[in-house]
Amino acid sequence: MFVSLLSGCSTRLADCTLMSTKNIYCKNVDLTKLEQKKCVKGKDIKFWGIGSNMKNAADKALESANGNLIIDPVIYYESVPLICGGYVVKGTVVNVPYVTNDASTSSDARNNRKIIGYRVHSVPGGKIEKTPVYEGEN
Amino acid sequence: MFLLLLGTCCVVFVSGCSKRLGDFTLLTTKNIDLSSFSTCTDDGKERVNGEDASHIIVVFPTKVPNFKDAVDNAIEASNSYMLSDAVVRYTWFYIPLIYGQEKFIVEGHPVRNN
Repeated sequence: MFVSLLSGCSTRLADCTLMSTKNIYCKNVDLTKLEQKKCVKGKDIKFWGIGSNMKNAADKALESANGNLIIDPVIYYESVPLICGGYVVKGTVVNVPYVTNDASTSSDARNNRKIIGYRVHSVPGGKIEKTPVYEGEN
Repeated sequence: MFLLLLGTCCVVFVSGCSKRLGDFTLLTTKNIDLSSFSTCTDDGKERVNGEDASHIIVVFPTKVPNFKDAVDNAIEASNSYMLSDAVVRYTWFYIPLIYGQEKFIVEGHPVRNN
């Protein structure tokens, strides 16, 4: 009985095709060409499951792989009876660049490579700069 | 003393509980074209709801509510393929030995056009 209590249990709550907790704005971006980090796991397991949250688990998965979108996430509820419980999110993480225009129609005249999005970063002086992300780059 | 305890239990069970499980900027259970992915919504005003509920009759639950079914219901109700700014809630209440209900509720903006 003691062993069976400590062994805990895991319930598969859901499997989705896409999930994100971060801000994403893009149009016609090819996700298959972005770097994919597979089998990334995020956990939010707390004492008696009090305060555990699905969003925190997804956040941890995204932050551990430095991405902003989970492809094919699976959500589990894991618990050890009377001790702890919480959510686990597993999936493939990609970092989708910020896109302000239709990426499918953008192209770079110099090298004829397709622009699939833009990375936004702040520069000294409080300004925001956008650098294009080309097809094949991550 | 017993009546006070019973009354407190009844109030706690009947009042139920609602928990916000998470909020997601994007959420879907449907197949997506990964080679041409867009997050643009039609307009930001429409909001849809989907829920999957289980009834507890006396002490017997009719089923186990499912998060995925709630997302499916929200997506199918709006004829879309994805939800943006989705909020997932879990609620329950139980009137001891009479009736209870537990359910997942998902709401969000439908994303239709690609």
